[in-house]
Amino acid sequence: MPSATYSSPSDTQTFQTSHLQKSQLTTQGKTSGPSEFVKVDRDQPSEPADNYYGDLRCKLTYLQDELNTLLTDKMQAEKKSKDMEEAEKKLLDGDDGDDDE
Amino acid sequence: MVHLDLHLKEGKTSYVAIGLEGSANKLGVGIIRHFPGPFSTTNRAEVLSNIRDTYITPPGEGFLPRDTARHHRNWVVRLIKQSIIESGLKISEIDCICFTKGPGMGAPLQSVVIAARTLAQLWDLPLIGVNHCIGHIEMGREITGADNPVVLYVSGGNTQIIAYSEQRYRIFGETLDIAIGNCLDRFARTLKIPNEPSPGYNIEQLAKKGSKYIELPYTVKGMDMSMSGILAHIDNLAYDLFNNKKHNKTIFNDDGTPKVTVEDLCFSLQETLFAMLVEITERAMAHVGTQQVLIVGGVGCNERLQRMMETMVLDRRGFIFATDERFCIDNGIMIAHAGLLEYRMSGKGFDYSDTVCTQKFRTDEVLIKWRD
Amino acid sequence: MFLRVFNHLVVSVPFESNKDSTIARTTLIQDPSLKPDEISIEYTVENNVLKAHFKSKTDRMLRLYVNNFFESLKTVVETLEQFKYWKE
Repeated sequence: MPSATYSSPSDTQTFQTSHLQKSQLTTQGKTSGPSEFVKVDRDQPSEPADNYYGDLRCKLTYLQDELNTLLTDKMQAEKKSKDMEEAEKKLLDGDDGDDDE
Repeated sequence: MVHLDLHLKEGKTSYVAIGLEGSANKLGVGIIRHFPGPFSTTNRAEVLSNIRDTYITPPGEGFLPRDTARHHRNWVVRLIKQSIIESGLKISEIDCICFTKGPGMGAPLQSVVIAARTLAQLWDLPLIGVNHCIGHIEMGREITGADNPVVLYVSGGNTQIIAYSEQRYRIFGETLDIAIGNCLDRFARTLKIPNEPSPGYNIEQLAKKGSKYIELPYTVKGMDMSMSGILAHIDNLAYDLFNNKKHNKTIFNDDGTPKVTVEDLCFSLQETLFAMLVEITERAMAHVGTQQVLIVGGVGCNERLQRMMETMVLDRRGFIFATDERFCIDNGIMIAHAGLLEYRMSGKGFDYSDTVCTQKFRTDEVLIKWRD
Repeated sequence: MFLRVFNHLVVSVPFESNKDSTIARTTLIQDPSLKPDEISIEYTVENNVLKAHFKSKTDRMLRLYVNNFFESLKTVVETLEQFKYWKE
């Protein structure tokens, strides 16, 4: 069943889907919804067919949600460290309003 | 005379194509049948299915490409399924799968081509990429019987005057900045009117109730026209009206009461834009020496535009052609039709590396092999 | 001193057959990365398994392209889901 492995210089993480129970399987992803402008969503994914690929589509949805959560966390950590780096730089080098971008 | 039947499969008496359209906010699936021989009054293309689902954004919002792409992705397989069931066809009867290669919005186009590529491989069918504008033109010609018109193609994304010459649909005139549909849609956004069924339709209904003509800039430049200046101007007038800018004497009387309504603004905008279109269409007719005008594209549904164009055309003792909303609004059947014409000439599909969608795709880039 | 450091993501997707995983690969490889210096994607097929290997300089780009991949892949899978066993 589908799986994914993420690796960076600092860590490695693997996500599996073979453990998922039938009751956990859905095509309605948590991280693949409409944008904030849309109040009523009439374009949700279709219900899965009762075959191998219907099953696979659900598992891919789960995997996508897991990876989105991981990568969003990593992005925020990356931004946080960048902000801290910039704050530190201003403290040490002085803020003359001249940003070297 | 061009031979259109070099590649008719043995044992078959007709051709069938599926067409998939998704370049803007309409997702369309169409299935068409062609019979051998040239098209004529006795040999017409047969529409086996024509289904469309439009993605409508909340009032005051524009296109939202990400949500549009999501809409297309989540509906495309269901629509194809519905279309095939409606047509009553067997898979073995289908000759090719056609899809909109461009022009249009990147993400929505992408949603559709993925399904097209998968299906073509699954059923081992040739895959044909179609130019969206050519789809409109060829469907317009077939539905109306106009064999060699000047084509006015007006939609949310396009404004072109086209005429056929030596196996190309040549662009004689076009917008220098925005498309007319885009201009109308953006004004609808300024007015915050609903986008259902379409912002342009709602502007049209308001315009019907307007009567006072407010002078707006008129920007025809030779064979071309520009509209962003007009949009900026009318946006400012609407702003002044909504925000009680009483110093604006175009909008307000000396006593501070408004002298124009929103309906008058819509009316004035249409009158100006459509008069410009009529002018450049007439210029093209004279230049090309044709008596036929065909209007295609979503804005072609506008009754006021049709009437203004008709007045000019009849004045010149010509003939005007237009299609109804099944065909002038983006649809899958026009893609099936144009794609099948291409397939009949080549007998094979595109290489998959050639099925990458492209946001810019000029009408004159396509070689029209099915005409001489 | 600058090190070219990449983050990697490998996604393995088993299909019902080699034919199906090849269909998926052929469909997906036509649209390569728009920023090849920042992120690359390699698709391979091992029997019935499609593997997508992402190599990215940033997690931001990775998330963008991984999402595109999953959305396209789900469309491929839904197409197979509905049409592979089509009954006339």
